[in-house]
Amino acid sequence: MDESRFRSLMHVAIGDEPMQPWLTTAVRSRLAEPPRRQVAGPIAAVAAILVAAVVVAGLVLPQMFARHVPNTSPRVLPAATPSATPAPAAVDPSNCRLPVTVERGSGPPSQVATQVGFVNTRTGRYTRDASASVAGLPGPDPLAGASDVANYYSPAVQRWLPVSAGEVAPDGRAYAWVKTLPVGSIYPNFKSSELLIRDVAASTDRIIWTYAGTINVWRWDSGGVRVNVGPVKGNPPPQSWWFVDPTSGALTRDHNPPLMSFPPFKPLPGDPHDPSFTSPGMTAGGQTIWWIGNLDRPGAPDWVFYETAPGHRVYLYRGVEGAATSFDPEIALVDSKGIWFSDADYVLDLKPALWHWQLGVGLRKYPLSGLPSLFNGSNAYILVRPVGPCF
Amino acid sequence: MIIAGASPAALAFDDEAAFASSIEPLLPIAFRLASGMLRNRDDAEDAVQEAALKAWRKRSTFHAGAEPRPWFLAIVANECRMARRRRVWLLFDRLKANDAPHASGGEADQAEQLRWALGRVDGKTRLLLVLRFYLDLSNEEVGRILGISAATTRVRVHRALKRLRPVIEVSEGAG
Repeated sequence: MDESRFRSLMHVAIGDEPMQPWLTTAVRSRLAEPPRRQVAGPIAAVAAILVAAVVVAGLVLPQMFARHVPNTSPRVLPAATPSATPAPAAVDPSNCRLPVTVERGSGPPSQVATQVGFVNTRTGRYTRDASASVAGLPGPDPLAGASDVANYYSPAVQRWLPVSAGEVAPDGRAYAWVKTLPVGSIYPNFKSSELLIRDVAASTDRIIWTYAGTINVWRWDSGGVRVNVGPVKGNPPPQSWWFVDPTSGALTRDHNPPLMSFPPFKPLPGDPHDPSFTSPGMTAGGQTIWWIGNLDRPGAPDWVFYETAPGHRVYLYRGVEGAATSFDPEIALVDSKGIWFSDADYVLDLKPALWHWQLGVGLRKYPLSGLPSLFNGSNAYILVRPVGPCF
Repeated sequence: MIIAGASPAALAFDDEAAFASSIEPLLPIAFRLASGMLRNRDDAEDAVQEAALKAWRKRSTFHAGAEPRPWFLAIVANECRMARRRRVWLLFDRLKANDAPHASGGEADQAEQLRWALGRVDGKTRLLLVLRFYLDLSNEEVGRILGISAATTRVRVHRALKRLRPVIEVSEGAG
């Protein structure tokens, strides 16, 4: 569809509810409110100081104490999954190095900074990799001409890569990227695209498909490199989806393209009525991981699970919102030992952590330390995300 | 003190009441932005009120001669971002189980698919799409709100549209 039609559709999708006149009055009232830090008088001031002292003591002293007591073991939570024999693996998730990105932000005025490093999962301590570089590596976004951001760490080649986990080969030794042609052209002026496989160790690129349009890499797994292709611009027909053999370049049409990155959620009898849900990612087997919960409603079900078959769920966590052990995953990253999760709760409780789940072992929380300090600006936050297998 | 110039409003920083009056013309578009980002009337109204308060507190960040609308919309956008983050809105959204998109081609179905797609993209992508295609702002103004150039905005809009695929296919520059 053209842009005009898309604009119309945005209005239908979002709706055009007009602003209610009372909002103007509400804004005026809000602005007229006295500052909340204002105190009413000497007694209130003394009371506020005493309360503040108690609060500060409650918040700071335990942290000061905690600094002298290294956190040497992750908290283990009971697994709600059926027991199974875990697959043998060389890496102990509670004693390995996990590659992470650390994003700090605040604003307005907007400040955002990202750095990369490793978390020692035995201690939970983060160490920045100040020498991280993706210099000389092509991709991932030739449209922007940028490949200077480390997005993934591959222990197999001991390098940071400029692409995300979905574009990296299962063995970590290569990745898929797209070059637009003519060389140096960007949207909307490029005419065709090449799908290339980068052999990181050999520093070579191999063209496996040239297409007169645009190529988007969706996911590289044991079935090959899944891509969709379409025209650069104009009134496009529906895009087509393909599996590309990364060795031979053989193409197999994918007749069941995903409608989106996760499928419609299908509730079962006994599920919460009218649940909120999302998906932080997929398992190694390509099964969608679901998270049902509602951070605004303490006591509401807080479930994380995937399905091995329609209606057959494996629960990673089954609790309630607001519980001390509440697990609210943000994004998932699969490695040989299980699944790592970033922690969506951090923005709420400012206790940064990562989580790991392993079949037959269960869910563990890894509190983090050694992170860079928050920005001084308003609305400051830090997000720590796993970006490579623990090694 | 009146800082004059840009449409649709000049801003008055004399006191809270004057400031409230001067941002009044901006409230409808601020509400639309918040509605597009949060997709819930109550949340959008809260975000606009909070943004107005923060705008007043941060009035020192407004440069004389600058356009009020991008400055205020940037604060609204950030408030929406923080509201989403606080509530993990990005992840939960308000998609219901029976909102599963259908593949048939009617406008209602396409709108439903678009709602789904908007619900799954990240906050930055949704903000770009809402600013550019829901509020119909130019690349230049979107860039001023986001603190980037118009050229960078154009590239990011292109990437944002790509993220809607294959649910929605938009041929850019057409129409």
